[in-house]
Amino acid sequence: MTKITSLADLKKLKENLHAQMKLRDNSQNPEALIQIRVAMATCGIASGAKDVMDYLVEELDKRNIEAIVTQTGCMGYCYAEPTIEVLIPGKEPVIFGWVDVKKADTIIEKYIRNNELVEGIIPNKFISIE
Amino acid sequence: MNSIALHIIDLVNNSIRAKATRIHIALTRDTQSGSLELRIRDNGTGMTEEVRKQALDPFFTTRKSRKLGFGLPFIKMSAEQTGGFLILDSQAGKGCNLSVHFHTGSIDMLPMGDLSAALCQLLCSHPDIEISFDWKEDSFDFHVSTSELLDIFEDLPISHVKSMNLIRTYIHDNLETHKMMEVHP
Repeated sequence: MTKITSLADLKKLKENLHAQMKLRDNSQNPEALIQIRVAMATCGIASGAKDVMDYLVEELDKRNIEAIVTQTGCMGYCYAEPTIEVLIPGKEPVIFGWVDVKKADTIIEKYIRNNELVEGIIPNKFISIE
Repeated sequence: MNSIALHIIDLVNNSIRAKATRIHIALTRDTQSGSLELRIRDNGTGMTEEVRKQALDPFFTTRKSRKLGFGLPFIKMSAEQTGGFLILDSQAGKGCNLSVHFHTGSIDMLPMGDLSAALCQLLCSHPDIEISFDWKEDSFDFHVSTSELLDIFEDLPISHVKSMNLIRTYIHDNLETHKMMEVHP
């Protein structure tokens, strides 16, 4: 791949990308996209959340899955880091714990692509441990 | 935390939690004296003198979801083990100014880590917060900021995986061209 070192290069590549995406109708509306939030506080980072996020961004792009991936703060599940929240449009958000790169791959293939449940879901009713 | 890049993600998330709307990250390296300064400045809620004094204590945190706060103590340790130091300056209502100095020649100096992915993740995750980054070394200066990226990407969300991959490559190629990826010369 050619190097992108100037803002002009970046703009050109963005326009190519945008043109490709306009051909598909669901790209325009963020609500219609899969949204993933990666917990990225000290506990998450120390457990490898950055690498998991990196992997998700790269693989979702490669596998042509339209998604938005962002960081979020500590969700209070420090014991289960790295944790990610996956929101598929029209469904309840699901939080997965103990997500390493391998688990992230399973989540993409099974949960996001095929709608199958994957082990490691954290129920969203919780109390903090005092 | 095993790299400077991870520390940056962690510290910027502190600023975000403090409701900052502008966060400035600066890395300044002086090859002659072998020093590296990481500076993070934000306009968040800031800390009272009482909180500021306790912020470096790992058993102190302002959050409710857990009782420990290791972020600042960790970076203090990373700096001090190279013979460096940390200055935390803040006033309630006036934001925070953190400056961390490292001696890059020390055997205990952390590697830079994957700085381009770390910055890309930070900038793209928070389009509503103006995050800017500056790398300065001798005559070289690389700058990137949220507003700059938003201008270019317009109606395409920067947190879309396809945008993020382009942005990451942009930051990576700039840092790599100038051989900025490694701390050790």
